[in-house]
Amino acid sequence: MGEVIVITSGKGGVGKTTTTANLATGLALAGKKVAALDLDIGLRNLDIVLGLENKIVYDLVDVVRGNCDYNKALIKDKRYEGLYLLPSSQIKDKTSVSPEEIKQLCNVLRKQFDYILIDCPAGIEQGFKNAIAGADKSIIVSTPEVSSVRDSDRVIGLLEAEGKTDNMLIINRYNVKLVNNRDMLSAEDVNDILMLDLIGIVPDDEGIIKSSNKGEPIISDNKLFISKIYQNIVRRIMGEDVDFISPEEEKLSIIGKLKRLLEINPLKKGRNYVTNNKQA
Amino acid sequence: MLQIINKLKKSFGQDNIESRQVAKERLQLVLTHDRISTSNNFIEKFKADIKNAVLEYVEISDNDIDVRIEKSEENGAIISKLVANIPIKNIKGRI
Repeated sequence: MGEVIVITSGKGGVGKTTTTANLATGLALAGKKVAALDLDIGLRNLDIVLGLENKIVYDLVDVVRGNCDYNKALIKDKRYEGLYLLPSSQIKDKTSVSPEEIKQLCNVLRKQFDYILIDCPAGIEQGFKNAIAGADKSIIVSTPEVSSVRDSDRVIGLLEAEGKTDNMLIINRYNVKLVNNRDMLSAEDVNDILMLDLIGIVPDDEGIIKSSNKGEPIISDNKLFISKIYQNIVRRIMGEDVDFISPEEEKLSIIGKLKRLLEINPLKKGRNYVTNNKQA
Repeated sequence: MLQIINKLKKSFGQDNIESRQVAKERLQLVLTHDRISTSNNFIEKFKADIKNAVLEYVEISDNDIDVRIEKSEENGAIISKLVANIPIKNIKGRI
């Protein structure tokens, strides 16, 4: 039986769709059979980030309404063996599906896939309720900004109220320079507040924009540092215990090196925290 | 280069308020209130537990319990504070 994981954040624009695209691709590259579901009804985007926008015939609402079989609506990604996309609908509104219908769909897909990743819309209204309905686990994507952390906290509260307590955290758009300058919340700061199982710290990287421009998830480019970071997240999702690479290891500024010598590296503590958290 | 200048500024105390610390403190404060106000029964449960604890020692009347979480200023910093106002009717025995 497959596992259903929802990628959510409350706040918009923090990178849910990019994260979903990369993790789904990464799981497929790791040999898993993956269905990526876009639940952002009316604002379809996972298709274009994955580069599958021209392949759509049927969508999620067609499946839920019974207009077609789910197998017909699933788009097979020819580049990555095992990766499938169920696109969202662009025309119908969010109320055209119910949480119960999504739950049923997830239970059907579970039988055929190892992982079902759900790209949740921003907000905490109907679309959010639909997206979390069938999920076993959640990945909260938060940037180290006050607005994003606050919204994440709210979303975690709502998930817990639904009895969903298996929640993981990805800190996105991490700017090491700002953190070292003490002008951005560190990974440790963010997780001191959210207190989740931290599974990844993804640096702010201009390569992300280029990859969505091309419709090729960045995780497939092995040469890049950020791709290694995503691959490690994928391994953690699959249950492996993987050491954290500091986003600093790629390019250390002179000041960063000096700071490291003087042992004021904020991430070191962060990593210990993660380990402690796991043991706890 | 700009970073070095900023660094120097910081070390000479011209810009020594670290926005990271400010962000963390503001978040912790606002989330205390968010969590309480968005939880349906937090305050009710909290009240009930406090009442039970208080009842071990004193007699009180049900209607008089006033338990709130307030923001207040202490030594220039804003903090969250638990404020409980519970009039005592009688002490239970001689403790």
